[in-house]
Amino acid sequence: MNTSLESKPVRSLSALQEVELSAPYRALYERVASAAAGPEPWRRRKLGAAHEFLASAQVSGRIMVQYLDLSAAFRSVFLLRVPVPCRRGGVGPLVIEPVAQLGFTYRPEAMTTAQPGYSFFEVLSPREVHHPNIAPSNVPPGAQVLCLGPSLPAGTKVVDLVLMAYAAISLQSVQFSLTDPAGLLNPSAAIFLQTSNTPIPLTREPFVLLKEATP
Amino acid sequence: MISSVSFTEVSSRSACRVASRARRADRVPALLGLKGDANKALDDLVAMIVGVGAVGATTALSFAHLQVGELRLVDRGCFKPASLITQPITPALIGQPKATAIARLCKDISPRTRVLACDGPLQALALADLARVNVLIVAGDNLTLLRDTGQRCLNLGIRMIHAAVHGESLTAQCRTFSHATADSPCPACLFGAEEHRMMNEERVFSCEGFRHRDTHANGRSLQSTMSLRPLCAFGGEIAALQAVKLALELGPPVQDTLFEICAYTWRNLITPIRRDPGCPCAHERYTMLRAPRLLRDCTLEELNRAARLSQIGVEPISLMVEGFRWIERGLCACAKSRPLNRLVRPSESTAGRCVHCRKPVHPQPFYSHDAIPLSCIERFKHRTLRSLGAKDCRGVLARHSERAVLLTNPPQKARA
Repeated sequence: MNTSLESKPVRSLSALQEVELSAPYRALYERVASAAAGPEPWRRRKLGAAHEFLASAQVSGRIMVQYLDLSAAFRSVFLLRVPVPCRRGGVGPLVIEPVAQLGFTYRPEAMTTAQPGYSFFEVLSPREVHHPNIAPSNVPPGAQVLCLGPSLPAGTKVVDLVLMAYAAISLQSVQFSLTDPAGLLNPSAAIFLQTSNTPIPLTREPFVLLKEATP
Repeated sequence: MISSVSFTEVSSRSACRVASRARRADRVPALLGLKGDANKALDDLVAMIVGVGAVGATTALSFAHLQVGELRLVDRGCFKPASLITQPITPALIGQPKATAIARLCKDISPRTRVLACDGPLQALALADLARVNVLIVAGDNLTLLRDTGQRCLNLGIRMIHAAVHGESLTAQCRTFSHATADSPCPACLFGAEEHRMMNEERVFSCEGFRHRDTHANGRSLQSTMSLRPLCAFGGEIAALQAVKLALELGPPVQDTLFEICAYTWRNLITPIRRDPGCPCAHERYTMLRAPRLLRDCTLEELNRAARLSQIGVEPISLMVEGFRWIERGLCACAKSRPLNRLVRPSESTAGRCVHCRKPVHPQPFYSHDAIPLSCIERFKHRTLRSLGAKDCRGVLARHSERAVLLTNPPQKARA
């Protein structure tokens, strides 16, 4: 289900529901929309979120959607162009990977009930991510779950979560405090980033790629 | 939420055999306007109480005195010393789980009543455990519980009574929800912005949670119940009486109404309850069907066939096996994602061992499904639930694009 990024960029994330999807995104939307199941409010929410999510991919030029499924939960695998801090075995030199492959799940209960910050994203690749808010891959259970905070309010929008993930992974918004464990899943990464001379954040680029956003 | 707890039946204690000599028929009055047989209606009544505290325990004990047919109690809490102030207990019960302790008292009062207790949260019970319930009384201390109970009752068409008190104004409240159709009001229809804000605050999470998914909080009380014992008892008895009126069809209909009485003035109000079209809850009714045989012995294909609605004629899009989650892939010490494709209880943090490194395989969150898209299990449609890991299954929710079917085990007699 690969979708190319060749689409005409629109400049704003503020009115994604009004963005007209380009042909590949529209085809993907139509394919998954026909299989969207669930009670009416949930189905409507999934369809709206899918449109906004694909529109954000089109507008930002930062996302490549690899998989999208609306049949039960809202599930997607996508590549996010974001610098990802990695260390082999948690001890080697810091390596910055340019792209993260994220698995994203938005369950129906997220629409009506506050959710823990770790319930949405898992970094599928690269492995050995060394980040305070991402569970380490070399410690069981090994899933690189991304935590966005102690609790996220009910009904947080899908696109807002994607923006939060971008900001968190690039260390633009990050929880370093060892005494406040909210959101801190890898304390050794927090210590490392506090003591090393790694430039933080890893990028100051906004989510919408500026080059493509220039008229 | 995936189910992980169940009911336990309470057996009668020999010391209380004398109670079996009490006969309800000796005391039931000739009720005005009664159309049917009151004793039979109470014998057939299956009542469930969610939240067995100051209000709910009073209702439960009243049902025991009424010798109803079956009583199911749910509460995840234990009695504390402060419980003595508002709850109908003795000091001997302090420290004991509420549901089981009150269930034992009920069984002592009425040995002929089938009494079941669940010392876990309602959200962790299978939907199939709510089947056959005629009336459900919710008397919990948080909005999340009220919303979730209402959602389940609406889906299954169970009449629900919400009993509550407001200590400061000496007011007892009783809301009766008919759940007659999917368009009937549910508790969340009455929530405003303040209630939604409070629901967000009621949930707390630990960073350890993603390693043990069943430890998710289900909602907590933001403050202790501040009230007086007589008011709590009053609220509980109003709920019990309302349930009797429903069961025996006495007086004018009370469904979808809010009854309120203030002990300062003894004035009361009856207000109709209406559905909020913007209610975020799923206003849908599940179709209840029996599986052709025990669910664990059914193949996925048989379940699909059983859940195929004649009106729609199409197969479901997803299946949810209550009490289990489908694990598509997992991670081990090999650090490589491996296919697992099996049903695993949410309390199990591992799903077998890796054939290469011999280390435990941990379910990968992204590849763990509560509701399983049919596309994920297409290859396994000829396998039984038992062979896929669900050795004890109580319900399967099959979802079509707009409808849902709850498949339950056949009755015990049919199984034999």
